[in-house]
Amino acid sequence: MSTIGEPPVPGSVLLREVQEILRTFRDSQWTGMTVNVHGMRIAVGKHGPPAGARPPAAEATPAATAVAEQPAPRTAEPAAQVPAQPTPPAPASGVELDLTGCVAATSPAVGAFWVAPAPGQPPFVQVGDVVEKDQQLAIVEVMKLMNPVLAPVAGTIVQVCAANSEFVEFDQPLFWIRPNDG
Amino acid sequence: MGSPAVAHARPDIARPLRRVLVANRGEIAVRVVRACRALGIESVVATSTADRDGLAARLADRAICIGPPPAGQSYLAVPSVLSAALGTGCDAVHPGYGFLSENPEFARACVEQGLVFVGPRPEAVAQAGDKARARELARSAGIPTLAGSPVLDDVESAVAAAGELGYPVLLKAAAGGGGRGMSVVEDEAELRARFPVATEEARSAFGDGRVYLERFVRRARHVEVQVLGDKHGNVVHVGERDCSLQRRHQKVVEEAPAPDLPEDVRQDIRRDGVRFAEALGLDSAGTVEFLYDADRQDYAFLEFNARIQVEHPVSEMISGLDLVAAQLRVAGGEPLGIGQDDVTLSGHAIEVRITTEDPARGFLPSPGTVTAWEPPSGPGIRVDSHCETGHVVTPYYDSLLAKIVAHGPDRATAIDRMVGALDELRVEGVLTTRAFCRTAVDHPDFRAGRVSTDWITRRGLPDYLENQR
Repeated sequence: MSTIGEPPVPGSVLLREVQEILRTFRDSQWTGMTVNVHGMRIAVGKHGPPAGARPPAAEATPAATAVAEQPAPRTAEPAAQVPAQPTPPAPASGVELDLTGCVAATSPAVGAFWVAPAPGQPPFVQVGDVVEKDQQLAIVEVMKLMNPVLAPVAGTIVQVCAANSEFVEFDQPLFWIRPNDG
Repeated sequence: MGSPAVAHARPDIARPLRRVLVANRGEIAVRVVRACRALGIESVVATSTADRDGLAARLADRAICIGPPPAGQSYLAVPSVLSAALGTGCDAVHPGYGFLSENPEFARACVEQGLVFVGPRPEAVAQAGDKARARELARSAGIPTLAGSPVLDDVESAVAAAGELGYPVLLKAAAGGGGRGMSVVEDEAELRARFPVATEEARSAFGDGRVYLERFVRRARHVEVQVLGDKHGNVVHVGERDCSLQRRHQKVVEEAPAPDLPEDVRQDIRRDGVRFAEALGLDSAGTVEFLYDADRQDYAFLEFNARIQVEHPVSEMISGLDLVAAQLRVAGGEPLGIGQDDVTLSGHAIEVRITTEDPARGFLPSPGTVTAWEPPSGPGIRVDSHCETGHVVTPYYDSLLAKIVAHGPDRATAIDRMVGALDELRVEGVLTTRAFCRTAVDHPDFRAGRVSTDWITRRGLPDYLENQR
């Protein structure tokens, strides 16, 4: 796996490339990293924000900006693959999520992500809900086969990482849960 | 109805491909991505978690993770592959070889979902995959077939059929392939013992317990004809390959054209390859396999492979054609655009399969991390591989690491270039068949073009192990 800056910087950054950068970071010995590519800024740290990582208050949240530029129907949380201090999807309050110690509920399959048992029904869970281990959180539909997304631990839902009906891939984080004992 | 070719022509289907899901891994996924790139088609590689950082995933326009490492939950999981294709907006699926490439249900499912299956029509895939039906088709097209039995219902009919054929016989699963599901039976006692076991094995391995018998040719050579068809009824051959160097029915070294073949036999074999493809209504790339009996200088149809094959580069090297690109073009409805006279074959090409196996220990797989990777290059050398320094060879898939191809104006030059390339190839961190393959291609028997399908077991491997000592 190459590190950042080796090939010429492309005109735009694919979501997959962002994921690759984050995966490289996760598997590295580094504790913090800030990447600037064509106005897109990724700042991640394993034990909190990296030095000088905070964007000016006026600036849009970097990862969220990158995601918004992606036309592909993919999930909106590459940063969530790094289990520490990813940039949140810019809620109106601007409050940053600290996912340290959180556990991801990942996609059991490649297909469509559904937050509710059926259209028009309330979602299985929402941010703030307390869930039991193995409680159903969502559905990933694969060619009309409904695969439940289950909570890997008991805890509190702190983030939903994909939008309803989005196309998600296998192993992609869909929820972040703060374990009860965490 | 006109000729079979006309009957299958579908000139109405012309839909150039825009985005192709590559439903495979390893070197063939890289190969398909490159062909897509050459044609200006976008590629999406479907990967398991074990391959998502691999070369194919990086070279493709996009990669999509479809499941965990075990193939049954990823590369063989039909719903996941289809879901990945539809979810990423692909209009076609290239299955590569192995995995779902010759699964007629998968081909059919692609078509039902509005996806172009880059391969023959599902019916042709089904007919080719059934050995007994394929052999019947060959016979009806006037192609010599190996003396053999129909599908056998019980052990008594097997014993009677074997008596007519004469021992030794080959007991084969009707749904088998790639050397799987067959065994050599030397006499009646062995047949009586083997029959129920083979039936059960065929049922559990292929979900189809039907078996049949063929006369077994001891000193056989494997000669196969590369054929190419389109949806407009055109079929050409791209010469033949000799794949006689095998180990346990798995090819190790392949070359084109076949050495030491009488010219009239060569022309007949090529003609019969085209005949079979026409009878099948082939509308993609395929391979018609023949068994050549060097002692009697005759040949017989073995089976048809409805896919691009591992050894396709040797045919590309002598023809200058891009067979994978041709597959993609005809799948999009384009006519082949060439006739038989436009296919000119020049020189000689040899391919060696480098696998991560230890010849000294019964070809035991050798998974691990490749700590150094230096592929050969130079005049006439081509390397098809997904390997790079840091590549992790997992135990989940077949052990093919690289295909080294050497082309030269003549066979001797091609062999010399191959020996040089194998000397140059450096792989560290995992054990490979490099040195073994070098011994094989540099062996006087191979240089003389006198090897048969049992040569590795009988001569090649013992000689290699002796030299290692």
